[in-house]
Amino acid sequence: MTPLVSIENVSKHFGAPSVPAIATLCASIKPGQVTGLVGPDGAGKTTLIRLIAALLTPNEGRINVCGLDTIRETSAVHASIGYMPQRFGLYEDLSVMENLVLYAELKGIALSERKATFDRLLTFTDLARFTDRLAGRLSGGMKQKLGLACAMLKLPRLLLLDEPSVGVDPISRRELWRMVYDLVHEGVGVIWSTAYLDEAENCAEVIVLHEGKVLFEGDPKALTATMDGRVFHVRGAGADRRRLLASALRRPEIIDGVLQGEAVRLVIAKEAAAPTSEELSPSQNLDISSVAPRFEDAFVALLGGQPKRSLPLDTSPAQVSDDIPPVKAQGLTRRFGAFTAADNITFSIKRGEIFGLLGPNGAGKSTTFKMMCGLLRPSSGTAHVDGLDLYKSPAAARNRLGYMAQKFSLYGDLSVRQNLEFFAGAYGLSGAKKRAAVERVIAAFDLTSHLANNAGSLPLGFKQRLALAAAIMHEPPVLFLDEPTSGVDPLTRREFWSFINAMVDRGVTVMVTTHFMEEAEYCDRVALINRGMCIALDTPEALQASVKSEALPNPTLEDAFIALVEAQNKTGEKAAA
Amino acid sequence: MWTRLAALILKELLAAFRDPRGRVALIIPPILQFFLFAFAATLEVSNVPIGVINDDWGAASVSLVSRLERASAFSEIRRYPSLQAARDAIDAQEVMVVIRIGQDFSRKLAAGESGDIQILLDGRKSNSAQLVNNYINTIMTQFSTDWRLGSEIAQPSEILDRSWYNVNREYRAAMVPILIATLPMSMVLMIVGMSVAREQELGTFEQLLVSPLQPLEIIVGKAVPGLMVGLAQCAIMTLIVVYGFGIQITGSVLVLFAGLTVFLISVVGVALFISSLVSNQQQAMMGIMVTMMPVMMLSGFSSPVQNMPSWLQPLASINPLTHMLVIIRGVFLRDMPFWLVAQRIWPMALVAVVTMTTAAWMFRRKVA
Amino acid sequence: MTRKDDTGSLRRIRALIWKETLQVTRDPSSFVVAFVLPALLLFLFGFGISFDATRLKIGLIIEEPTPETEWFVASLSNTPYFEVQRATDRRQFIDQLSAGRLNGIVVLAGDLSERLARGDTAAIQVITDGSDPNTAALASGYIRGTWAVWQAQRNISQNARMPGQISVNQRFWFNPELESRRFLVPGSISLIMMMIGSLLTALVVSREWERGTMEALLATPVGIHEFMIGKLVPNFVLGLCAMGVCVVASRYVFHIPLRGSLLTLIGFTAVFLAVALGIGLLISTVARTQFIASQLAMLVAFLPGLYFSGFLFEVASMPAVLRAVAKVVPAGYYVRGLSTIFLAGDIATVLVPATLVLAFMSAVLFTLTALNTPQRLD
Repeated sequence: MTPLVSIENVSKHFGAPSVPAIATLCASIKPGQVTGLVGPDGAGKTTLIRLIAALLTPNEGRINVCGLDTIRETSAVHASIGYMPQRFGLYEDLSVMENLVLYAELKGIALSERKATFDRLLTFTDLARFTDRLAGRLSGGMKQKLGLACAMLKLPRLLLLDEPSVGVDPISRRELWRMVYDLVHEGVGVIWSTAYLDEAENCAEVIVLHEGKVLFEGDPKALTATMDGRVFHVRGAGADRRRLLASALRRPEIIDGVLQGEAVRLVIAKEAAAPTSEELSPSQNLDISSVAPRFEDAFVALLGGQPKRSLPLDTSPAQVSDDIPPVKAQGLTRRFGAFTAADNITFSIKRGEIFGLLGPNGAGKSTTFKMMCGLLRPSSGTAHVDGLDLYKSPAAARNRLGYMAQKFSLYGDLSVRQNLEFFAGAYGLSGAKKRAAVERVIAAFDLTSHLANNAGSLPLGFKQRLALAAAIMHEPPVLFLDEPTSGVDPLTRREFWSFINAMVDRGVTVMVTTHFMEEAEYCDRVALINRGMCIALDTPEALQASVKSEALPNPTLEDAFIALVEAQNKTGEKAAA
Repeated sequence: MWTRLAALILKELLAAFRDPRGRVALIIPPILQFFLFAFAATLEVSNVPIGVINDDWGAASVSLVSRLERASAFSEIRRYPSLQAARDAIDAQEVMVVIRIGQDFSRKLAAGESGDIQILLDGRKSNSAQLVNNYINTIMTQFSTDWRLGSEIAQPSEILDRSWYNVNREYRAAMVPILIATLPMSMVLMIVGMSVAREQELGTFEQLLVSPLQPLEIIVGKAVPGLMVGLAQCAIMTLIVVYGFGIQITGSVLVLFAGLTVFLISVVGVALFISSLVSNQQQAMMGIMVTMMPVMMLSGFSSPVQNMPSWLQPLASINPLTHMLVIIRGVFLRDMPFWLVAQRIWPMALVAVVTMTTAAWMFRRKVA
Repeated sequence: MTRKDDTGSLRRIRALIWKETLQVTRDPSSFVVAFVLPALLLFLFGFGISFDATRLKIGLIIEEPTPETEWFVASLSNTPYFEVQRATDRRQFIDQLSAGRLNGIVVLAGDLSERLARGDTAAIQVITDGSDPNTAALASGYIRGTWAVWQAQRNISQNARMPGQISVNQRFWFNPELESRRFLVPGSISLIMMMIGSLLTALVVSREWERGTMEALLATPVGIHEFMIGKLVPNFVLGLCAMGVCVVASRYVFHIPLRGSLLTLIGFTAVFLAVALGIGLLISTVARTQFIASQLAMLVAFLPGLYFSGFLFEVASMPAVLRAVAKVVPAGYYVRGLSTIFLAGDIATVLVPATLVLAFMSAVLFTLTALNTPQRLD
C-alpha cells in the first residue's frame, strides 16, 4: 500500500538551528486508519501536524501528502486535507450554520450538494438543534464537533486533528471517536495528536515523538505487549497506599507507579523481578497481582520511566480539631435566571482525602467548584472550609484554602521569586515568616534553578509546580485544584501528583475537578455531577462495580461515568416528557 | 492588611514595568506625544508665504511691502501680476493670503486721504487665516503710525496692547506645561484600566479573589500603584518643562502637585470604572480610547472651553482635565493663588469620589 | 490558472466578504472602531472644538465714565464678539484674569475724555491673558478692530481732519463667516477614514491570528491574497458608507456647504481609503495580536493624521524635520483636497497632485504588503 503521507528527513527549527522542533524525522502514514501522534509537551506534535498541513515549510527534507509535495503544491495539498487546529478554528461570533456555510464556500462545495452535506454533518454531529447558536456560546464538546464538521465538509483524503480532546468530557470524547471511525470506514486517513494515552490505544498505529524525534512507530499493541508481565497491582495498603507508592518509586527496579483507586499500579524495569510484599512494605501483607499493561505503561517506560526524586516537602498543615470535616457543601444551589446550574448539592470531605468532582461539560461541575472557592455566591445552601462559612467569614475561610486555577494563574511577566513573594504577601505573610515560607516552597518544589526567570517562560512542568507552590504558600489545610493536568503529558502529570500525594500524606485535604479518568482514579472518592445534580458519590471502584453488567463485565471508570450520566439523562428526559 | 496591600502594590508596579512589550507600550507613546506636542502642536502661524499684488508702485507701497518682507511670520513674498493669478494661487493653496495694494495708494496717503488695501484670505483654514490677518493688521497700524510721524496732526487715540503672563504670547509656553497632566493621565488610564482585564484574561484575578484579599483591598492595590507611577511621571515632566524648555513656574509647586494628586485620583477612578465594565484587554483598550478622546478634546486643551456650545459646557465642567489645565496654566504662568486653585480642586475631588465609589460598587458586584 | 479556478477564487472571496460583514456588526471591538469612534470624532470636532471665539470675556475698566467712554462701550458691546463686564477699578478684574475667567481687560484711563478733548493722543490700554495665546491674539485683534471703527466714526462725526490713513478691507474666501467647524469637520472625516481603513483592518487581521482561525483558513484552498481581498472589500465599502454618513452630517447637522461635486468627493475618498487600507494591511503583516495592532495603528496612522494633516496645526510653522515628516503623511494630502472639495469646489490644481501622491503611496504600500505577507505560518 502506498503511504498517504511520507515524511523524509524533515527538520524544522524556529530560531537557532541547534534547538530543532523537528529533527531529521522520517515517518509514513497509511490511508484508511487512525494514526496517533503522541508525545510529551513540547515534543513537536503541533509542528509536525502543521508541516504536514503545508502551513509550515520544512528547513530540510520533504513531505509528500496524497502524492503532492507540501512545498511546491501547497494549494493542492490544502484542497485534499481537512485540518482542525487546537482551538478548532471556529469564528465564535458566527453561528453554527454560518460557520458551515463559510467553510463550504471556501472549500468550493457545489450549491446543489450543500444541503445534503450539511444535513449529513449536522445529523452526524447532532448539532441540528443548534444551527442558529453562535459558535462562541457552544460547550467545549460541541465546539469540537463543529470544528470537525467544518474540517470534513468536503470529504478529505487526510484529516488532521491537533489535540482535539483537550478540555472535553469523556462522553464527547467517545462521540468524537465514533465519528472519526465512521470516516475511517469511508477510507479517510486520520492523524490524531494527543497527550492522553488511553486514546493512543484506539489508533491503528502510533508515532511517539520526543524532542522532535520518533521514538516508536507502529501498532500501539505491539508496544504495549513489550510490557507484558511487568505491570502489577498492589492492593491492601489501605490508607497507606500513597506512602507505599512513594517508597516503591524510590526503588531502582520500579520505573513507574500510579494510584488506581484502591490499588497501586507499579511498573518494573525490563528483566527485573516482580516485587514482593516484603520488599515493598515489610509490615503489611500486600496482595500483588500481575495485570494487563496499558499503552501508558509502555510510553512511560519508553521515555525512561518516571523521574526519581526525593521530596523534602514538609509543609505540615495548621493543626485543627478533627471533628469538623475540612470541606462541607450543604444543599448548594445556584440559579441563573430560570436555569438551575447546581441543584441541592451536598457532600463532605474527610481530612486527608482526595475528592474528585466529575461531570460532563456544562453539567454544573464548575459552578459547584466556584461556589466552594467563594467565587460564586450560592442562591441557597452553604459552603464551609475548615468549619468556616465561605460567605459569612470569607477572609478567614479563604485563608484556609489553597486554590490552583485551570490555567496556572501566575503573573507571567514576574519572576518566579516575585510570584512567590507576592502570593505570600497576599496571604498576609510578612517579614521573617514570609522569607521562611518562600524559602520553604523553593526547596520543597525544587525551584532554585529558575528563580530569576519569568514565570511565563517556564516549561509547563515548572509552571505547574510554581502554581502549586504559590497556592500552598500559607500552608492551607485544604487544596482546591481546577482541572490541574488538562492537556498535560503523563510524565508531567505524575510529577505533579507526586507533590499532591506527599501533601495529602501530611493531612492536607484535596478537592479536584477533572475530565481525565486516569486522574479521577487517583481520588479516594468522586462525586459525579450531571444536569446540576450530584448523581453518584463513591470510591472509583464502587462506581465501576455499580455499572457492572453482562455487556460490561470489566468496566473502566470512563465506562462507569458514561453509563451513569446516560442513565440519568434518560430518566431526566422521561420526567420531562 | 498592610502586608497584603504592600504585596499587591509591589506586584502591580513590577507587572507594569517588567514586561518589555508592556514597557514599550507605556513609554514610547508618551515620548512621541511629548515631542509632537512640544514641536508640532502649535496654532501659531509663522514661516508662511504671502502674496502681494501691487498696483501702485509709489514710495509708500514699496516701503509697506519691504516691511512685510521683514516680518518674521512670513517666509517669502510672492508677487502676482493680476487678481486672477492671485486667485489661482489661493485656490491651489500656494499662499494663504494675498495683499492687494490699490492704485494711487501712495498718492492718496501723501494727500492725507485713505489708501486702500485689500486682504484676500483662504477661509479653508479660518484660524490660521485670522491669525495672519491679525499680523498683517498690526503691521499696517505700525506702518501708518510711522507714516504719520511725518505729519503734523496727532492721532486722537491709540491702543496700548499688552499680554500678561506670557508677554510674547508664545504658544509653547502655554502648551508644553499641559503635558504634565495629559501624559500621566494617558499612562495611568492604560496601566490601571488594562490591569484588571489582563488579570482576568490570565486567570490570576480568580486567584486573587480566592485569597483573603478583600475587594476593597484589591481596588486600593490597583489604585495606589497607578497614582504612584502617575505622580512620578508628573514630577519628571515638570523637571523637563522647567529645565528643558525653560518655562518657569510662577506659582507654588506645592499647589500644583496638590492639584495633580487630586486629578490623578480622579483619573484612577475613571480607569477603575472602565476596568470594572470590561472583561478582556481588547475591550479595555477600546474603552480607554472612547474615554480618552472626549476627555482630551472637551477640556480646553486644543481649543478654549468657552468656545464650545453652551449645552456642551456642563460636560466640560465635569471633566477633571478641564480643571487641571486651568490649574497648570494658572500656576505656571499666572501665579494663581491657592484659594483660586482650590475652586478648581473640589470639582475634581467630586469626580474622584463618584468614580471611585462606583468602581468599588461595580467590583463588589463582579466579585459576588 | 484555469477558468474553474478563477470562479472558485471569486466564490471564496465572496464568502470571506460575507463573513467579514457579519463579524463587523457582531464583534464589539470592530463595532466600536467602525461605528462608535467615528460618531464620537465627528461629534467632538463638530461641536467640541472651535477656534471661533464668539464670546470673548472682556473686563472693561472705566475709571471715569463720560459720554466719550460710553460711546466706546457701546461699540464694544454691539459686536457679537464680546461679553463685557464693567468696573471702575482694575483690581476687581485682576483676580478674575488670573483665575482664567476673563480673556482680557480694556482700561479707559480717567483722563481719556480730557485728552481727547485737548487733542492729545489718548491711550487705551488692552491687557490680554497670554496663557492662552490663540485667544489672546484673537481678542486683541477684535478689540483693535472695534477701536478702529470707533475712531473712524468719531472722526467723521467731528469732521476732524486726519492724516493719511490706510483703510483695510479683508475678505475671507470660501468661509466668510469664519467658522472653524468648516475645516475641522473635513479634518475629522480624514481621521475617521484613517481609523476605519487602518485600525479596523489591522485589528481584524490580527484577530484571526490571535484566535487561531488564520490557521484553519490557511489550511483550506484560500490563498493569502484572497484572504486580503476578503478583508479589504468590506472595509472599503464600510469606509465609503461612513463617508456618506459624514457628508450628510456635515451638510445637515453642521451646515457645511459642499461646493465640489459628489463624484469628485467619492473618487478622491476612494483613493485615500486605498492608502489607509494599505497601512492597515502592512501593520497586520507584522502584528499578531490585536493589542499590538491597535498600538501600531494609533502610532502610524492616527497620531500623524491628527498632528501633521494641517487641519489642527499649521504645518508650515513646524520645525523643518517635522515639515519633512508631514510630507509623507497621507492624511495631509487628503485634508487639503477634502477642505477644497467642501469649501471651494473641484479645483484641479489641488486635487490632481494630491490624488497622484495618494495613488503612488497606495501602490507602494500594497507592494510592500504583498512582499511581506507570509503565505504560511512561519
